[in-house]
Amino acid sequence: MTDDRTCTCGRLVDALDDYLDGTAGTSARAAIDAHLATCTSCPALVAEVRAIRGAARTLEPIEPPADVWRRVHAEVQRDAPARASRRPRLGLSRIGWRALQPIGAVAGLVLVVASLTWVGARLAVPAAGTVTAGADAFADFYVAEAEYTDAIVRLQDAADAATPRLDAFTSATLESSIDDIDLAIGDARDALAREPGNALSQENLLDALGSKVALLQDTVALAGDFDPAPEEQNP
Amino acid sequence: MSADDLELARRCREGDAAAFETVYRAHAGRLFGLLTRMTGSAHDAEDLLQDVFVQAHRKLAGFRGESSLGTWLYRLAVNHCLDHLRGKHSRMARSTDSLDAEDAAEPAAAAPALPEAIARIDLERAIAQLPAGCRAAFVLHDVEGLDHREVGEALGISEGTSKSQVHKARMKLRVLLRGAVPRSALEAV
Repeated sequence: MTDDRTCTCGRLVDALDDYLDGTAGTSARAAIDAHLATCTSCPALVAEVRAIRGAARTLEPIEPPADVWRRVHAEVQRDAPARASRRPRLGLSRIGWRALQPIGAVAGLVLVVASLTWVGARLAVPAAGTVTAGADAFADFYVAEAEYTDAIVRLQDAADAATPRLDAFTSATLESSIDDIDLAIGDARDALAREPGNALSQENLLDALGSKVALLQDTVALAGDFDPAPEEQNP
Repeated sequence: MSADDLELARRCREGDAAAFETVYRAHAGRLFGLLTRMTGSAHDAEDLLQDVFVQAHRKLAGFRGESSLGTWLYRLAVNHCLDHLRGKHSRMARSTDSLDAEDAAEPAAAAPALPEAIARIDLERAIAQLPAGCRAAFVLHDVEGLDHREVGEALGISEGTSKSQVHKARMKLRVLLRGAVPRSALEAV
């Protein structure tokens, strides 16, 4: 707490949370206790914060309104056929192909190659329900992962340069989507670190990497849409 | 991590609606409480809860059982909620600056003291009035019981900043709760 192990009202406020959370050192606790024994105002502060802290711990779960489940259920049911197509969240069909930059097109080709590589590998996995990939599929997975990762590295600079040209809402939406995808990538990599040959985790990782490539492409293309087209600049 | 969780996740992946409803019923209350308190808005929390479970359904293929289903959903909900708050407030730090300016002003000397037992409803209302940044830290630390390191990791802030945000929230709550205490209750204390 202090060099001379004394406590003042001001110092108590600074040390209050550690004191109440039980993370204050022995000497700091002793100094606060000594101060509380003589101070006329600090005991009330300590009691109030302790009451708030205690009440917070007693707050209980809150049941959501019944219609939330109905909405969740309806969306999940609607979602089922859509998942089969495994489209990225922001489809390129929604944005202008005119704006697609060359780097995005190259990365798109990489995406296709990587996908085909992986599909080939998956077809090579013998039985339905098998969760561990064979040696060939294992190697193909790493080829596909490297293709995706390379595409992401190449697209990232272009996407970073493109983002400031987007409006705040679009930028925030894209950023949020990238965060979600990065979370999925992290989860898949964690799972693979524990079980490198798990085919489901490999598929999850490639799905997530593919989504990231597509989203970075979308970012570049969207920024193109925000820029005036050359013919508009020079009518 | 229980075998039940893995079994439920497997059934959900296979499109078993009853299994997914079981997951929802088991965890929706805790997550809705968390989201309501983190956002300060039951309306926002309803939308977020819907998003979380729809996302969870999509991501269940990636659930490998390293943690319990509850922990997995909890992490998903916290991350989704923080995305929402970042989008809504641009940067969480900005929303906490306003509190810095007030620095959780001390209650006026003449203000009545808080009772030892604070009514839950009063506390819920007061939490909803906190600025978003310190509200999130307070909810995760004081309500959910995460330590400051975990709060820092969840919010993308340092452990020290988490401590400071929780402190500000507690001081601010003192002010808000004094306004909420009915006089009759005070006289009885």
